[in-house]
Amino acid sequence: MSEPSTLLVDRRRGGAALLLALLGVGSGCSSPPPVPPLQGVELSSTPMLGKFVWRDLVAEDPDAVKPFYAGLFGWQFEETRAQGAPYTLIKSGGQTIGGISRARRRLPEQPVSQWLSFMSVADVDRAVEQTRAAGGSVVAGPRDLPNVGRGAVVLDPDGAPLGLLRSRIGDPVDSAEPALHQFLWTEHLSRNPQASADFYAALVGFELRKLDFGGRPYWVLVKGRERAGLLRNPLAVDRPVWLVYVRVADVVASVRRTKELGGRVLMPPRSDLRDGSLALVADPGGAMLALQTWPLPWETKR
Amino acid sequence: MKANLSRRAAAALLTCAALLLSSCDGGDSGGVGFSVDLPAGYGGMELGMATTQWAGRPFW
Repeated sequence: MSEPSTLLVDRRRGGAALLLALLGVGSGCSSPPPVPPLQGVELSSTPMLGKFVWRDLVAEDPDAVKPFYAGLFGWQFEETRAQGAPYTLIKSGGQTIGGISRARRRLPEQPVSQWLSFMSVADVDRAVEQTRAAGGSVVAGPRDLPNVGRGAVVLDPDGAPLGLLRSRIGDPVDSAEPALHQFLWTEHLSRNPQASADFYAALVGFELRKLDFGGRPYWVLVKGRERAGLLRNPLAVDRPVWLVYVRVADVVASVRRTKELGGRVLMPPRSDLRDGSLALVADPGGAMLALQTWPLPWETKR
Repeated sequence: MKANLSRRAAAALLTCAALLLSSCDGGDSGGVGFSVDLPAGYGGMELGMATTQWAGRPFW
């Protein structure tokens, strides 16, 4: 039995409407709409191996910490998506400088919010294998990252979380000087500093510059220029970490503001430590970061 | 026959829909955005005076 032609026409119309509706769904699926990556950032044509090229705040409650960073550093935020999940881009001075993703707490007594820094490597898969072979472990990836390249998250052999990234759009070029309220430095607080330094030298090809600060060694990881520091973890808590530094104009005022905004002061400025130019604070979610004035006080005096 | 064609057309539309929806990640921001299970962070721990051995400095 043949179908009435009117019904067939209705079905065709219905199909067209369904297709249009689906196209509408497809075009509107990424809500809010995608934005060009790394706005305001000049990118290199070749990878800047060994440079920390991206930072993610992995936060248990992203919305709860945004007012803190907005109030302390004047950061602005743009809601988007990454890896199919909500993701916040961080903007400072018109530049995209990092992101905020959501973390899950596995154990009620263990806060996991923390800053995660991504190092530019030549080959993420190879770097992951090197990390495994050296005693580290893989947290996520390696995987392709739409519009970015390929990345992974590992625990290095010392146990410090680290992101590995090979960007196919280029890495942020070095600026003339670190901008105020942007990332200034990255420092590995290590259980086994010599072993950690050797691991990173093998991973990226860093030249290790070992300095002596009153009998206390400090390794500078150099690849073309100074990229990071490494020292035995001086904190009472034995937890290896890549510590992120943000440049501030006045560390005392920044510490006061930290308290006003609901953050905690883990280590106030001390006259016996870099002339009081450094403080460690935690945002309201517990993520630790270093506040550092720049240039250092004794360099300013010269 | 026509009913079969209609069913095939509907199936094709559904496939098209699935492809469109699966392409949503292609509209990602360009950020990194791993949702990862990390070991415990420092949280709000008081680090107090255990920092006297802090060597070094930033080398921008």
